Amino acid sequence: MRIELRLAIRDRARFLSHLEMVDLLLAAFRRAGYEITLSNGMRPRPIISLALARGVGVASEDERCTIELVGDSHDLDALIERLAATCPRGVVPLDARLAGPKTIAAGATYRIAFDAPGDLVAQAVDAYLASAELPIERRSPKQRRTVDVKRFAPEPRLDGSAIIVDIAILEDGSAKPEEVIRALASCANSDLPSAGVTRLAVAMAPKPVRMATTETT
Amino acid sequence: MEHNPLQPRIERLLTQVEKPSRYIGGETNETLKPDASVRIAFAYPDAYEVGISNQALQILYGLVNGRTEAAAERVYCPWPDMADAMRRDEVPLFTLETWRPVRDCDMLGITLQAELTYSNVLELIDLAQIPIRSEDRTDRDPIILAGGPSASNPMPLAHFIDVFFMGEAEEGLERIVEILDAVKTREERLDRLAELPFLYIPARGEQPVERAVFADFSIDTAPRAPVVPYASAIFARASVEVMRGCTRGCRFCHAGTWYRPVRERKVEDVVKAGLEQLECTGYDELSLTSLATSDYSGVARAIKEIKAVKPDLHLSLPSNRVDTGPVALLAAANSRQRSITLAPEAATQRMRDIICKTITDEMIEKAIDSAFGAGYTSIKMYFMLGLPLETFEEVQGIVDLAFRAREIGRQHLGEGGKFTVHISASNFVPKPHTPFQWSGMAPPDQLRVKHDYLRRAIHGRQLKLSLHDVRTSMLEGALGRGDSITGDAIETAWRAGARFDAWSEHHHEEHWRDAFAAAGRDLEAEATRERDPLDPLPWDHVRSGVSKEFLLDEWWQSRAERPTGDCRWDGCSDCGACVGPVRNRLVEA
Ligand code: SF4
Repeated sequence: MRIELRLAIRDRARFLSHLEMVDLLLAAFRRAGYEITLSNGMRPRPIISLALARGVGVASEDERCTIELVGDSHDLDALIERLAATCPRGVVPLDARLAGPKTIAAGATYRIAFDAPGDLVAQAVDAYLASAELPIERRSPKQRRTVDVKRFAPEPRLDGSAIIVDIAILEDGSAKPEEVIRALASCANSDLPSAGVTRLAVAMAPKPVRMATTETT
Repeated sequence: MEHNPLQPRIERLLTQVEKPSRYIGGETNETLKPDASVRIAFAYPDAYEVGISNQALQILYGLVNGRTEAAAERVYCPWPDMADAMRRDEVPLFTLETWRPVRDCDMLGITLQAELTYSNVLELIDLAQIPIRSEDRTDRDPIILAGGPSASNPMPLAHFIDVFFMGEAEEGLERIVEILDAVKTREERLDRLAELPFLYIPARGEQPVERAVFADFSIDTAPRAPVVPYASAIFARASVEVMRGCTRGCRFCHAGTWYRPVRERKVEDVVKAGLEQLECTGYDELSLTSLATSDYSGVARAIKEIKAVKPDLHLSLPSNRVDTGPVALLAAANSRQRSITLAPEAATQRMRDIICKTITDEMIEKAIDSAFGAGYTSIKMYFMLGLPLETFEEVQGIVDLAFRAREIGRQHLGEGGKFTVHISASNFVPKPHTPFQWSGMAPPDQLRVKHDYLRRAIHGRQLKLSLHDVRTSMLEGALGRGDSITGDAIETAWRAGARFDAWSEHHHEEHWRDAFAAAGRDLEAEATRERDPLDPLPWDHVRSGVSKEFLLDEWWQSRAERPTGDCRWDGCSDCGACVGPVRNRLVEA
């Protein structure tokens, strides 16, 4: 039975990495008494995937996990209740439903709070909206490249002294919340320290047939 | 929960460091006791992924939280990136459970599992913003207690630790908690703690101190709900300690003295605890642990009963002896496993007689033959180099055995068969309280020559060799038999930047060499020096239960190349460990 579970990742649990999250969810399911279906092949692995990698330190109110359980008559309300008791602190199961056709993440909405005066944030948002493009350098141990943050996150909006921003996932990639913060800081010509990022929602889209299926374990 | 001013400061640090999950706590089976009147921070002086896998600390954590009014919390040594950030932002060392300063606890209990963690002991104390030396501490500081096997020679850390616990903590921890609860000033606490015979308090002088032995191990219930680490842990599996102690009498082995006599847990409890742990943790692997699990009288029955309930479970049996039919046991435990580890320790009969490893060439060959016959494709064999009285023949013996194992493998799997014979050789390091405590280590040049020889000889198809680093072995040897002057060297080395010495990327030999020199010692001379049996040893005031006469007699027996029998089956050799209710307790097979 393939189910889609929605979770919140709060407080300190937001510092768990993607791999750690997968591992702890597997253990939480097992503790709750569920058996997880294994993949075929030489090295069978539990079938589980998380929809959209979350940066370490980012909280989430919409973490999507698809998992295949052995058996086909699991009561989903009971499942949430049992998982709530077996998930570690800060990992909160919200709801579960039977998974439909495969989907992929098309974008996500974030709330970004700042450790900065509200008017400075408001100024930064104005300047951001007025910019045609906002190139930010992305550095990884292997490469450096420039990402136009504006293309992926065109319209941040104020929410008190925080902002809410939709970040799209396009064919050629996406921007990270931390890059939106850097773009805003460059617009404000000032340091704009973040006081926490929360993913509020993930937008899912049908999975294009031509794409290869990869399960994350 | 009330506002914690450290929280935003810690969170800021977590966005800057590698693997922030090392510091967040909140794992399954973590215990929170916000209203406890006594708070104890248990520390493992290494990274989270190493420390969380330590069974002893899990036992103590469960014991204090489950059986006393006190709260036990955990702390591990922050990785250098985090430690540097904490110092920069003046964030004190904090416990994982509550993110409160360790400094505010009643006690910081540090487990000493290995000498190479000593620099991290100082690192922990300093990060906690507690004065490094005991003599500089006041009522504002927690009592710092250290226990674990390496505490059996407390002298190298005697400047820095207030109280050493000798032996098995289950036996006396509850009494310590009572004292911490009853009296609150530092001096009063030390006075009361000094009344307990198993505690050594350096500030109160070198009084004799007795090792505590947990006589009720066999009847005590095994822990059921260990904390489940995040993915990074080196061992993530359920584990039940089936037996404590070993009386095989290997003369180099510290645990073989320090945990005498043998106490076996009832099979019913092992099975029940194992199954319950699997349920409480969600693990899909269970390990039956001990110093030599294949010696546990109930091992076959325990495997059978656990497998009857969970036929597909991955059941692991670490530390198997060559002479106890390990292949059949492992096959029963885990039919999917394809690798087996054997520990002959020495490759010639002469050396095995010297070290008292009572196995024969035939037994080793038979184990290898039945392993390949049963479909195993990887055989790992552990050896030691630089043992007392070693000649080059022993080194050649390792090479011969490697090739013999390959030959047997080829007989089963063909000339080009897909299998590995993995030879792992560590360097002998003399340990306190063992018959070899008087022996010196082999000089580093000699060890390197032997390493080179093995590297040249053991290579090629189906063969693999791994060797331990000579530098860190030398340091282990110099620290393990050290005294309080060694303690000065530890402080100097740590001040020069030594930490995480067990991690080759962080070990800086020069810090240690210079630190020993500054203390008027030579590191290598300390490690290689043979001690005169008539001279006092720094740990003489620590009574392990096993008499010095017995150890000395064993030392002479080694020179006569005569092994001693195992008292479980061959009669008591009067080592002194059995007193009153403390005796070998075996279960029925
Ligand atoms: S006193 Fe005798 S029976 Fe007890 S551990 Fe020592 S040798 Fe064995």
